[in-house]
Amino acid sequence: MTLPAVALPAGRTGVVTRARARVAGAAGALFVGFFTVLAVFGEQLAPYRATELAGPSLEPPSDAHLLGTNLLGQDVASQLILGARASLVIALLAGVGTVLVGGMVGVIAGWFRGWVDAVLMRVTDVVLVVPKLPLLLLVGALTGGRVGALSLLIAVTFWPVTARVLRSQVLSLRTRTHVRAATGFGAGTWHQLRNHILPDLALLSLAELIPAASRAVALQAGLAFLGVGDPSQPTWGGMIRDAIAYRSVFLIEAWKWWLVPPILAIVTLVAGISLLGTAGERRLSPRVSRHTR
Amino acid sequence: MPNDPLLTLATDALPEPSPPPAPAARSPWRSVARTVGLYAITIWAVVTIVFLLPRAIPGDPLQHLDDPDSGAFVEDSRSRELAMAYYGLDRPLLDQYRLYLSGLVDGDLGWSISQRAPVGELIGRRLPWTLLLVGSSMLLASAVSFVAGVSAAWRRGSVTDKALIVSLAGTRAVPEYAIASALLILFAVTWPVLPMAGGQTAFARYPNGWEAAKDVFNHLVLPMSSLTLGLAANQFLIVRNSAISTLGEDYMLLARAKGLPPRLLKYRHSGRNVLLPFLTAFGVQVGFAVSASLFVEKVFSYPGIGTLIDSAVTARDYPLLQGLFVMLALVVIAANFLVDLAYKWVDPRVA
Amino acid sequence: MRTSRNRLTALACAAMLALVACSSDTGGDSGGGGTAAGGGQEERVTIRLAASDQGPGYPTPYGAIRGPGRLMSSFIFDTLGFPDVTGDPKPWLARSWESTPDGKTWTFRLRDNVRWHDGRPFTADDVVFTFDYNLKGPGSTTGVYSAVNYIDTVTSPDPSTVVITTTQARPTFLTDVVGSFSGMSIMPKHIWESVTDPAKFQGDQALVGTGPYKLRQFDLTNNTFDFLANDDFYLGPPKVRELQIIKVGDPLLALQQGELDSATTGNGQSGTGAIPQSQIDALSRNFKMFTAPGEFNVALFFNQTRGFPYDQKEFRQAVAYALDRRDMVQRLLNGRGVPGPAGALGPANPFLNPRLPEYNHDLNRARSMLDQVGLRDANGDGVRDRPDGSPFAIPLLTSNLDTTTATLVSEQLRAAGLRVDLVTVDQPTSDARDTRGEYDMAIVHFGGLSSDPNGLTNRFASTSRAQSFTRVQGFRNAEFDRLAAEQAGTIDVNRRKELVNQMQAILADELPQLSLYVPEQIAFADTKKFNGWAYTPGCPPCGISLNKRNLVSGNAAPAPNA
Repeated sequence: MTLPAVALPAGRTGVVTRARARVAGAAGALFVGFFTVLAVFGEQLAPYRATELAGPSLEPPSDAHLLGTNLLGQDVASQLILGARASLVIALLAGVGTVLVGGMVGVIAGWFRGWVDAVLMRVTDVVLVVPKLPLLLLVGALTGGRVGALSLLIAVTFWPVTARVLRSQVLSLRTRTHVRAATGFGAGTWHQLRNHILPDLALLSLAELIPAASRAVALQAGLAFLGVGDPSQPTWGGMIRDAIAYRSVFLIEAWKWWLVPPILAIVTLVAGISLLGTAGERRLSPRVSRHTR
Repeated sequence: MPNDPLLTLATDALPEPSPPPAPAARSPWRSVARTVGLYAITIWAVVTIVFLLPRAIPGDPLQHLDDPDSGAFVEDSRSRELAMAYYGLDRPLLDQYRLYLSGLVDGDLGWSISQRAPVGELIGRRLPWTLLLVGSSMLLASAVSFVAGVSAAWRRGSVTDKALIVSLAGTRAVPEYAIASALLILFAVTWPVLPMAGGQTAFARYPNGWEAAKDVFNHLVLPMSSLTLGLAANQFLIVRNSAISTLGEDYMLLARAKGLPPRLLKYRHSGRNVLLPFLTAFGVQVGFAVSASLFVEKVFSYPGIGTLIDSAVTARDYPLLQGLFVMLALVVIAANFLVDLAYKWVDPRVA
Repeated sequence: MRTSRNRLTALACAAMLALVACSSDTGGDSGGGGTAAGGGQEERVTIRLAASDQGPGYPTPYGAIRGPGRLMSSFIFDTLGFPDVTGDPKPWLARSWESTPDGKTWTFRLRDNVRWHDGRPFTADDVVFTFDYNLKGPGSTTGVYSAVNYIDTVTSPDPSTVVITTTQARPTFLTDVVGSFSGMSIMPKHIWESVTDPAKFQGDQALVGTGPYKLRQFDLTNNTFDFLANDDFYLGPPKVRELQIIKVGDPLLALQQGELDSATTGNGQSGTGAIPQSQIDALSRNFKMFTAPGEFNVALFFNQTRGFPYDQKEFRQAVAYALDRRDMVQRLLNGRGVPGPAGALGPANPFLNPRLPEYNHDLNRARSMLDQVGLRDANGDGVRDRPDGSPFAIPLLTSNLDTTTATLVSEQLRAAGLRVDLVTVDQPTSDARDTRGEYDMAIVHFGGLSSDPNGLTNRFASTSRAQSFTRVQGFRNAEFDRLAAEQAGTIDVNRRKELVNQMQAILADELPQLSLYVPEQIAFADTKKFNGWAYTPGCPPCGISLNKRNLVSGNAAPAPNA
């Protein structure tokens, strides 16, 4: 299995010094924490409801509307604040879902091997090969674009790479001496999985979780552009789509306050997740830093 | 720092670059047969899924023919029945499936209901455009990310390194269609140096091949740039991280000790070892690039597969959807097969 | 480094060359590309217009069956008549026509100097063949001409006369047969008599018509067409020598860049249709601006089969009063459009009833009507509840193309105390659910508001068998059904207008649907190059640019009457 080479986090290669890692982790925590606050207290913080017709169409920023208004006259700042929840929920649900499904398939396949492995790996191949974007387009419409359903859909479409990575890890763990020894002593499957396999997988799962979460955030924006989204639920992707769909947005000034903020928000959140993830990885596995430094 | 990029959007990687190592005793033909068999099973499953999926969701291809604007539409139940019968949609599902499979075996992808043309022809005419767009973007992205990645790794921690990481990681998170729309306005409207849409000037009569190529190239620049930005960001991080890990290796230290010029060290020694993970990433990127191209094609009305997918989904055009899914799956399988081969070629140890 | 770069360039060139060679598909071949310029008369122009976004289909009467595609095939194939700028059908292949007083027998006198593109003479036999082919022959299986199934016989007493008899008198006869784009395209008997699967018949032979243009090139991938004038055309050589329909991104931007000679906003899908004033100003500097009343609308459907409160007239009216449709026009269309007339015909429809209730925004009235219906706020949360006190929310079905409109509706109804839950699906799902009646209230967009009022029957009569997303569910009104049936057989225009007025009055009162807004059609054109631009009412795909009558004559004068 060569894919992990792709996924090599910078931390493992020793780029980042300990101190710098701490700074990076703190910055990540700051970004993600900031958006978490927005996601939790959105209603209290936003001056308007997300869909409220708060003012005239396409007002430039003012005291009443810090980031102006969109075509419908909705307050862009409020949408930005309230949209944080959807992005965080998607990142979390889709990310965890992907790793959970992929992890389960990978561990079962890697542990039991034989025909179980063969069957599961064929299924994995098929899901890998089915073109995902057209698939999401077709099925996405059924979800009504709601965040929960969308996360689930992303999870059941994107698990195979994770399954592959974890499976090969389990396969290699099985051959290690302490696992073999435990088998020799007649330890039960569950016991071995819990004591010898799963703890070793935690780090790898985290490494899988972070890109899955970031990907889900970006994917939501992409799907929104193609029309999979729920307009009553504010999302950054939906904001970007609305701005771009208004084909004249670049011909007038409005793109500055309508289009740029949600893009910046996505960029910041994705960066934050990555930073946080790297830091978390180092903490989970001090070995890594010792090894590379 | 940023981790695994969002490598995979549409189609992802296929099978591991190297199949599970076969026992040495087995003949190579058996392993080939095994691989072909596995691919065949995969393709059959995909074909079956794409047959069932569009039929399971609401909407049908005849609905799309309903057009109050023109007054000529499939409107009453009788003309609907006629049309159903004409396209064989009134047959039992199993019958339709059988016909579809036997058509596939004969290389017949069917007849598009919404575009009124053979599916094979529709796809065949658009595939070269997508291949051109995706192929050129991937090459360009690889070149850029290779040079930038190795340079950044070489001078890691420097301002250049940090600037590259931050800016490229940022680019990665920006939706492709936003980049594309911005480029379009910038270079085709505000400062109109490049064409706004399409793959070539319509009905142009070129005096020679050079002019034709130039025209196609002009139309390619903006879509290619949009796509390249996203792809390069992905690959850059891979190159950089793998290059860093090689810098500390013994042979690099040795080479440095020998006093080899930095340029040689940088690209020859370090670069070569980056090639392997890079190649793997390339295979994974194919899927990502094909789907990202859907967005870019939409913005630039580029005559590729992406825009065709979009209209096929909207029209619920069963035969066209089936053909597109199967074709995309084959492209991904083929790309990974090639990467697999290249892999063995670059690193004979794998084989 | 140097050499490898060169090699790369060469490779890229080769790839591009292959593309150019394989991407242009030559359809019909006129052969006479460069011959038309001779003669030294007035200058003949080439006009470039934007291709439609949707695939138009192969430009035969059976390949192209949606609006934009039918328009393309109309350049190649002729109908007996064709609308002029007044929107009425005027002589085309037929030089005149008349009907018996009972309206059941129509006699068409054909022009005698007409030739097919392949040189063969056109005769009444071809017309008879076409009708037979479409009514009883292979053409009938395509469902393309199902609207004219009331035609009984088609005969030709002599080579320049065709007599059509119908089983019943129909006021829509002319529109159905010769009129706008539902008209029957006449095909050459000598080619089509051996064709058994018309939908799949393609190639040079399939593109032989009598029309003013021949297809020189057709690119399936880009939906682009290159039409070259048919200089043997029976009304004289077309003034526009070459007509190119090319692929562009945004038509208005392309016009500004000089890639087109005319461009339109199209139907103005909500949220994308508003053109900023600055862009209008910039375009007006170089082009003439044309505006016309819209034929496309976004409407709100009530499904009365879903029971209370949708089956209550007062509820539907209250919703109408609660909606500020002028505000919608302002926000979504930058003021360029009108609230839809309540009688379901468009503002430009010749049958529009001018005295219909307007349902101007009146929130207090809406509130008191909702109170009367029994939708009151029982628990003081600011949201109206059902009469039994249980919470009430309207599930509003919308396609993802209409989300901005749906959001506006939802917000405006909220002001009246109604809670709306948006159900967003993609366009085909939305169409399917509209057709099957799987909604309580729905946002639906469609065109054809200026077409014959007979369409109202399909959409609203309880006897209608129409399987279309424009069919409104659960509306039953005996008086409307009676009027609809009567107007369908009424030849006298004034009497028919009266009947249709009453139908509209019923619809406007009962409100099975409410047309929210109708975007104005806006187009810009280069009048220095060509001056035949004009809006053709009743022909939505024509816009202002694509009436072939004007392309032939070079001006926009109305045609003499039949």
